[in-house]
Amino acid sequence: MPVITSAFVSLAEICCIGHGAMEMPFLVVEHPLGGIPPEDAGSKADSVIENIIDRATKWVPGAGSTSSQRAYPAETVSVTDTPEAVNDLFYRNAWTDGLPVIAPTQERVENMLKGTRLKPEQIIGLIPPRMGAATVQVIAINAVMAGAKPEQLPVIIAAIKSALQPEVKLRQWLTTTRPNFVSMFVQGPIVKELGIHYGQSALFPGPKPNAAIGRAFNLATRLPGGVISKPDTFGTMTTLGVPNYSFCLGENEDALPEGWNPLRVDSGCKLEDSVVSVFGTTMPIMQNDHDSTNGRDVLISTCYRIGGHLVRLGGDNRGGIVILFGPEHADAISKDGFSKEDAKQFIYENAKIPREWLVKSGTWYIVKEQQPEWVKRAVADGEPMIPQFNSPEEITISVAGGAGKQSLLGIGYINPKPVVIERGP
Amino acid sequence: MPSEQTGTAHDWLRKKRKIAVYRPTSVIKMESQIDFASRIHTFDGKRIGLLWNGKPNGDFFLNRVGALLEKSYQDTEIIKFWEIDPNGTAHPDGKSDEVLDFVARSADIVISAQGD
Repeated sequence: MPVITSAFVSLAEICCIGHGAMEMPFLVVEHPLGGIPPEDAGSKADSVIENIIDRATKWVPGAGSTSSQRAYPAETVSVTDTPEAVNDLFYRNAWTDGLPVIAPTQERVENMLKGTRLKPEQIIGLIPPRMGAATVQVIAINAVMAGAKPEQLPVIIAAIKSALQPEVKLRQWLTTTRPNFVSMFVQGPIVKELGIHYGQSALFPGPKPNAAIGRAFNLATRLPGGVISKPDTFGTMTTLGVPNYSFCLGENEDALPEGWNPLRVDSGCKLEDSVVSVFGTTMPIMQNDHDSTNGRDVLISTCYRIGGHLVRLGGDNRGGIVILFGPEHADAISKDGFSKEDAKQFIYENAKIPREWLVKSGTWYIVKEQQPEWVKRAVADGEPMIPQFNSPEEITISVAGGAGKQSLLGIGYINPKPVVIERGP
Repeated sequence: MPSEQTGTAHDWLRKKRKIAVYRPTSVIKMESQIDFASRIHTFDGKRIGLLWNGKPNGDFFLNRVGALLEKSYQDTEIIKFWEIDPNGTAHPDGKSDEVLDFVARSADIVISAQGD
């Protein structure tokens, strides 16, 4: 019998449905449990113990399941044929990210489906926490809404496949109180074929396909997943959230220093493959280094920047970082003799955090048990500086963007294996 | 002007016409139907599992729940899973089936505390 705090009721209900339980005898205590004196948390048990006993001994599971519902074709709704009426309908039902959408009519969705060889009824996966079925058709519906084009659909489908890999832990990204979000990094020949921006201001909003592709990915995960936020329904519990309507960019292969492989090749894919990786991260952190005149110093400033932010997030697949070096930083690092692997090794060895910062980070209580034994020992022994990473493999490095002494750090989980984009007809 | 009149008539017609749009949320497809554990009718003589997800104060809350149940019922056994496997039960990444199986075998009823 789960006991949850009052602020989490809506998310708990969505999670129950997604787990196949239309009802669950969970018990609610007044929010919060954390951040208050421990004795106050203990005394909250006194106020609900009778309810716990009652629910534990008298509640009987009822019938009820939605598992027999048909995923294809998607249901339709009738609406007056004006943009205002369509958007009012979608806004009222939280079927939007808040911006206007293009009406997903049968004609438009069929046209979108011309961009893939996959059958519209194929289920790409179930999106947590609601476990909505992401059929190819449903992804196409969301792609239409986002303003994407048929030739972009395979990228969106591949991104969803990537996000649903078990090691990615999509549920955690979508439901956590942290300001996390999921970003798309497209690599390979398809970047130029589709005109996905990867150079100067690649992430800046503008007339580029990045916007619609990233938006479609977000809609196609959040809406089937029930990851919505409106006054009476919260499928995410992010405390503040981030205004991530779209976060999609390409790898800047033109600016890769000599000897630095494209990211997909590092990950075991072929050079000729077009792939997409998804990263779950916090808001990107600016790595703003104008002072350094050599690559080693760029790496050192990067380590300081990481040391101020990462504070060891946890166990497997949780303590990673994605570093998108701007071309000028990447060039300086390479000219100083660092291969990409050398750079990872340098950061692994030098990105450290003062012990006190770690244990006073505000999350140590939660993550300390997940740390490897050598970290627990180092903390117990009073080591002054604690390494941020368990291995160089937790560090992902690529190049994006254009001129300027800037890079981006995305602190989050380890780089998942990229998914090869299955081209359309 | 003719073009304005045409536009007005067109708008009027559109406002009268209905179109079908797809719902973008899809249906819920559970991978398997959940089977609820058999229910208990009393805590007397029961193994009461307390499962904490590692968030601060959840352990204090569950400790108190355990103490209150122990006081009110006879022959209870309180099992604090975080004392058996602190990391595994709070963060069962990649081994949740294994952890749940262990928890289910060890207790007659499990009370978990989570949330912030």
